[in-house]
Amino acid sequence: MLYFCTALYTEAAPVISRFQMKPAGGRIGSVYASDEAILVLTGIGPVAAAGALSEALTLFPPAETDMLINIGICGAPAGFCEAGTWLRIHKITDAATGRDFYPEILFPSVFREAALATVSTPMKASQEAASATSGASVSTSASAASTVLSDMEASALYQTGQAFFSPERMLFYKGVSDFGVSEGTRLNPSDVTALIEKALPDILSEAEGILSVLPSDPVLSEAAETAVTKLCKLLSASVTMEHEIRLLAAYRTFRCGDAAEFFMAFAAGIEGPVVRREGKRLLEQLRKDCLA
Amino acid sequence: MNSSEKTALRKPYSRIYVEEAAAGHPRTAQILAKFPESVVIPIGDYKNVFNRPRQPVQLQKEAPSLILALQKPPYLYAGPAVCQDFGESHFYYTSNVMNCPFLCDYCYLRGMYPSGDIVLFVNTEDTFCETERILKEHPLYLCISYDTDLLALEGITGFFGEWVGFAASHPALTIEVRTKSSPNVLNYPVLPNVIYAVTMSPEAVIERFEHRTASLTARLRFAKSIIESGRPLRLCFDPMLWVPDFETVYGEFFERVFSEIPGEAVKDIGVGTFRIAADYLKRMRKNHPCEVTAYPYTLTDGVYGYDAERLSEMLSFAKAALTKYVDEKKLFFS
Repeated sequence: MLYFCTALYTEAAPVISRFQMKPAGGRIGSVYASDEAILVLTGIGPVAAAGALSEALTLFPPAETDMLINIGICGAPAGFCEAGTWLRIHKITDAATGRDFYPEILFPSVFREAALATVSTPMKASQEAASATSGASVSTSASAASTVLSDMEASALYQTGQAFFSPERMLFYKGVSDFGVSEGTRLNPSDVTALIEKALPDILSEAEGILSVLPSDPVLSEAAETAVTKLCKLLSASVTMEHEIRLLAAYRTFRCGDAAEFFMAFAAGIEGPVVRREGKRLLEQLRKDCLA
Repeated sequence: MNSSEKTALRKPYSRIYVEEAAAGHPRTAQILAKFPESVVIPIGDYKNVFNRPRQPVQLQKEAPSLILALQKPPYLYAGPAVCQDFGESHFYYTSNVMNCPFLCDYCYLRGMYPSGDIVLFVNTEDTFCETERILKEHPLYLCISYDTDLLALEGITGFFGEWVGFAASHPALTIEVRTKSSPNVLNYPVLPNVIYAVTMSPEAVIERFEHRTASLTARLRFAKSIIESGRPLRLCFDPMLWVPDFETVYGEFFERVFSEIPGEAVKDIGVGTFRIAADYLKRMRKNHPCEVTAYPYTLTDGVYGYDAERLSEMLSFAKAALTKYVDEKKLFFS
């Protein structure tokens, strides 16, 4: 399952359309869902982003194999790149605290990489220019010196997401919409949507490619799980005994292939659930058989 | 993006994180020059990258990033009790590198470190300074390839060469460099206080559990070059792993090793079976479930290992087999 986060509806619209999502609740933000993906419309700013993502992950708890994708627009210093350029983020600085976060990029990306600072208020053009050279305007952290992009949600999403997703399963894509907002100017919503639509196919291709190769298979097959569960019942296994039986099943799987047949055969030799003392004796026998 | 790109991990060392404090160090520039295509990411403190929670350690190990950083004191550590001291009274170890390019299933580093990335501490001069301070107090036996395989990374770091130079001018220092690689070290000076320790395992064990390491043939060739050039050689049969037909597998293995390496030419031999701190094994079972980590070991005093009966069988067999080739006084068991 893919969990998308966007701040604005204009950013979300292409994703909602692509996955044919329907509204699925949310009080802090708005959640949209389909069978394949969840989208959290967070609103603008780090507080809104953290609150909305927390709410969505409570409503739709992710599995360990799921992935968080933040897609949105960002500001860049003039001259860094052309407007409309998309970048994959490898470093996020929380401008308020100076803390840095590092999404893990395990697979080559079709997008150029960049660092990003998350700020609480939109960057002015003069600030963007300054961040290109010193970073001092966005953070007291010296490590922000290389930061060139700015948004208003990414660091909050990373900090919230890291309780649920491992670093290689959090992807941040930013499209450069402006080079610092001048007083009184507003971005054209249709331009923002067009910017997202332009990159979405590549982002989805990259994310699905990564998901397809990240490990997701449990050690034990379904049949082995069934055999282990049956054996635990037959041996009246305590939690500790069950842990040991599972470990033996894993060992057997790695050494000889699927453990299902071996454990089923062992279970077949036991008539009905036995008392725990007998269960412990049988477990010792199982251990010897597995190690033989 | 085509399908082959989708499934390909990044290249090893294609990302290099550089601690700001290390950015101006000359060794940093030397190392970065070897990777002109890599993405360089400035960082404040290496721990912010290396200690991230929930990292994909196994995948990182397959395609590690480099992290260039400055080491902070202490630079040297007293040798732990679970490791052989080979009779040395002042046994220390040091780590200019954290993590190893090899992927041994049983390696304690998988349980010790939260990351598969490799940290290179570029300020080796500080380690040398501390070593000199200790040498003023007493002689020193120092393992320099402890939480890594220093020789396997020599092409990137040059650290081993620096240590050899340091050892040449400090005869009270004895260094041990342990490896599962098979580099050419013949360009370094022959020194009695630089011990080359080669970990040897049966070919079947190497293929199954010691991924990316040198083959037994290559390790034997390396060991022979050490002896023939007059350098001190230590053989390490550690860890021995229990495998089906253990006595046949290890018996034929010992025979092969000593058919090529004359026992009398070996300085000494370390022998041990797989053992690991309980906390490390717990983490390894979660992060890297495999045949070695799933084995139902016995817990004794916070250390998991083979049960007493199997341990006795393995060590007795090794002792009997090895004393056919070398003097028992050269054997150090743990």
